[in-house]
Amino acid sequence: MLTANPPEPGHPADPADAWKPPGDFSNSALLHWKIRLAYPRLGVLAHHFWSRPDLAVLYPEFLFHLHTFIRSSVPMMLEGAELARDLGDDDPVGPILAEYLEHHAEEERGHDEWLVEDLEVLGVSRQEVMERLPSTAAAALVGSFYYWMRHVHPVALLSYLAVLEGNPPVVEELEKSRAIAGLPEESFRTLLRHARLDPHHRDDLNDLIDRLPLTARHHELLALSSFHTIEKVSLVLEQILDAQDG
Amino acid sequence: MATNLELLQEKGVVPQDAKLSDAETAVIEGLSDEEVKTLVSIRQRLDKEMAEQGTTAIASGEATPSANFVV
Repeated sequence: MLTANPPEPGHPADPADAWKPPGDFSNSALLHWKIRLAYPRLGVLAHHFWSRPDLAVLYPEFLFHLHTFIRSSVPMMLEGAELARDLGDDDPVGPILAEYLEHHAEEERGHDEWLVEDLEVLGVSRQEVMERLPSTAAAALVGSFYYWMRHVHPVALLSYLAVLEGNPPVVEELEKSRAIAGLPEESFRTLLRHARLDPHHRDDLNDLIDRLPLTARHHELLALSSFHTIEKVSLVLEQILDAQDG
Repeated sequence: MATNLELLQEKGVVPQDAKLSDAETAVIEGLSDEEVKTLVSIRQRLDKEMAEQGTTAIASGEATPSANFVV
């Protein structure tokens, strides 16, 4: 069981105290292997969603909900970086994590604006995007990471990134979906850009996770928060489909 | 008392015919109660969704589609 503050005594003062995953598993391979146990929940829905004949109707809804996630990315990473720095010298994960999150926040800056522009191509105004309330699933997902970062450990945020950047969009699949739906290419700019960027981000993230002296508690936190991410993103897709199907 | 692997296979989280390495089995057996409970819960929601939609699960080893949710 995870415990809230204060940090548990197993916190390593020395990277040599880090927990070693079984066999040849690296830290990142272990996390992704656990994610694969839960991912069918999202994979089935994603396949169902992107295969729908009425994708042209569903797609603006998808982009709206995606915007509610993306607009939180940079602030959440910067918050995580600050919390990681605040851990101080006694936590060997903190400084490495803070440096990564600060760097990655800059890489992701402005992507919410790309999405607004894509939505405008589809006839959804900026005002509509900003005035509409996010889903409770989006709030529950993003809000949970603020909780975990603040009250357990900011390393939790890496699971959010591992799920969302760990299985990046594929250009050919996006082009196929777009063509079938008859949607303008300009409405896919955000996803197409991420299809090109995210494989690099995924590799950088894995490299970071492998460099961190993670404890067994960190690993459990990463797993539980990644499962939660999968569940809440799945819920968003379910809600889009349910709203359309009545 | 069932092992983690037995429980996760019974609930469909891990395919019955999965060929797991010693290290993978060790990972499964090292999962906490909370991790196991969460995985079972997620699997049950997947099963419900599949029953409602009449869809089938992605076979073990098959490429899983990206949800295209990005950061």
